[in-house]
Amino acid sequence: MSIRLTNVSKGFEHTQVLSDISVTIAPGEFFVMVGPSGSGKSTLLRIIAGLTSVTAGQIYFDEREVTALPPKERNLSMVFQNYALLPFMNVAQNVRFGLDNQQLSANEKNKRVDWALDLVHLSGLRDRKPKALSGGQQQRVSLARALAAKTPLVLMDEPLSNLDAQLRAEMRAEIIRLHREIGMTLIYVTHDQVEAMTMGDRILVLDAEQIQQLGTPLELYNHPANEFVAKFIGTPEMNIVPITVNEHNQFSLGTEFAAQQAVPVPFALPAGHYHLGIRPEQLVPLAAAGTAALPATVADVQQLGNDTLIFSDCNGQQLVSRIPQQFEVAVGSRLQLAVPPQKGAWHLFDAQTGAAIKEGVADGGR
Amino acid sequence: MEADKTLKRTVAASQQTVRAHLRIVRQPAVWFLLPSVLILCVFVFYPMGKTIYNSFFAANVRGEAVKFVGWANYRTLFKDPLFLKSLSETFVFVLVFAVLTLLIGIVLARLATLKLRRMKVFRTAFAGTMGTSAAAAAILWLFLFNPSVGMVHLMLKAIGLPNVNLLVTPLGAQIVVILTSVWMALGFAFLILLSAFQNVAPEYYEVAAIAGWSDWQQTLKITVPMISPTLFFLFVIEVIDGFKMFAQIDLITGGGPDNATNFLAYKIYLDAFVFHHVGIASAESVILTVLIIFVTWIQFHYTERKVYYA
Repeated sequence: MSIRLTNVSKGFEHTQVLSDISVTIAPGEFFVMVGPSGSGKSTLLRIIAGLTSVTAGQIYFDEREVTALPPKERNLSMVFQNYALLPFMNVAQNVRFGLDNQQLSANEKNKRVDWALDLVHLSGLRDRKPKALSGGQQQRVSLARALAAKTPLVLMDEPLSNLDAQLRAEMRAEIIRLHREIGMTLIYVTHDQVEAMTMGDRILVLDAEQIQQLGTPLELYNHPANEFVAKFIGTPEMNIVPITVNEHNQFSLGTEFAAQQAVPVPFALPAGHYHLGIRPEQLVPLAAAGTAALPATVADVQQLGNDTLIFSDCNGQQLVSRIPQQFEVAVGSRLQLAVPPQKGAWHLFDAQTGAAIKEGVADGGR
Repeated sequence: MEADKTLKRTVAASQQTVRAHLRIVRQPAVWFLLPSVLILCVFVFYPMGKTIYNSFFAANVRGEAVKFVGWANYRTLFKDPLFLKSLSETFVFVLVFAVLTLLIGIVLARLATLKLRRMKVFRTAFAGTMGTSAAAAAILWLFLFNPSVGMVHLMLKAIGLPNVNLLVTPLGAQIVVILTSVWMALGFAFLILLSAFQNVAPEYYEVAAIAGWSDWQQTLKITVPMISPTLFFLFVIEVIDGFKMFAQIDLITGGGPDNATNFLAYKIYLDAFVFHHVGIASAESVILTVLIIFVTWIQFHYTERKVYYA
């Protein structure tokens, strides 16, 4: 089932939550909506479910307008963060609860329950009460309940947020597998960018009532549309620092050009003020002092085993580097951070608006 | 030598006993418990014991037990048609009172969970009787049902119905007492039920709404089982409250007319302090206590199995 939102807005009594959201979701897509808390992502999901009304705009399911329809007439199912399993019903009864009101024979309902429990590997626990299950198992039951209804659209609202890190990784793989096997349209809300990156076919980044960017995980990572997306996607977050470029294609950190710290820009860039974004893995220390490097002082080192994170101070700007190996360096020592020579590693943003400056339209010069 | 040792041992042992007693007195817990234990002893345990004692004695006019009569007081009571009538009327009253309070409480609590403007005003109003004294409420209702100036009668007159004085017919008086008592109990029941309603996570209803369950089905399949511990608790409390109903009866009907509202708790008062039959009243008190214990036990035994505890 395809879903199309046109100019959807939602305001509550005193606050605007969503403004003018338009998006089309393809049939069978794993569509992730991500954003910080309060970004309106859950509200958008609830609007699609019909649990929340819109202030303006339309919603279409397969070109059928559903804007004013109640949830039960939208033919969808939903998984909640707190599982919402009825504690006085056992596993099988809870799964059956999702389809008991459908026009199905008792035989078909039983078959559906068995099928769904089998899918989530819980057939052996069908008589247990939710209390006797682990958090991961409870969420599996709630997945089974959503799947048993066999709706062409399944919505998930932060389904893994109540689980610990290890279970979360396991359930992530589980949900990806279920989506692949069943092929329903899946809209998934999370605040966790790792979940968004690893699960989604496409990701919608929401913040401040609006769509910040819509694209595949790698599009978002490689070509963030603005500083918000650049910082939101990727861990540790992208370094973004103000730079000033002079007429000789040299730049220095800060809003004033400092000649003694000037470093050449590896490609032609009009003079002016920019915000420069560099991913931590692209900002690695140079072994010996070179021309295209920024001198920095090590402020903190975090050893992750496979990676080393170096937090350093360069001209009053906090920078973080990620080195994909174990790296010994003392706090307080001086480093030269190599400026990436390839253009793709440079993310330039408008110093005023924070919007990405696209190739060829770099008009930051003033 | 042998005697000396024995003496020493005895002294040591007695010293140990003294030390043990001192240890108890030095326990801070003893001092914290003392005030409430004292109050319970003076106002609950002693009167309880004294009542049981009195119920086996014939008392003089000053209420002093003077002659042991064994089970005679109890035998008299169970042969007394007035007592048996009071007993059966009490049962009917308690049942109607508890069920009505619970049902109306559920309706009010459900209404108060609706998302409407100014809901706080209604919530406060619904819970209002919690802050009303039973005596004041009884007087208020008495005014309402006053046959000449009461609001109820003025309203009946306004819509052209004949003026009936409810308080002079047995059934009418019972209805008034039940109305008053239910009204008084509603504040508490409402508040407890409202918090129970609000404790049911909204996601349950959302899952149900998506699955196509109607409001009525949701209430029956989700709300009632989820709040069943509260319903059970409230029912037990209201039944006990019903058995103890006193102030409304005293102020509105005085047990009348024709003993129609002379429920057990009120009858005890009449027998003890108006007719000075302390022995009989004590026996009635014991019977009422046993009755409440028995009914509560039955509720726990048979109802609690159907209750789901989270």
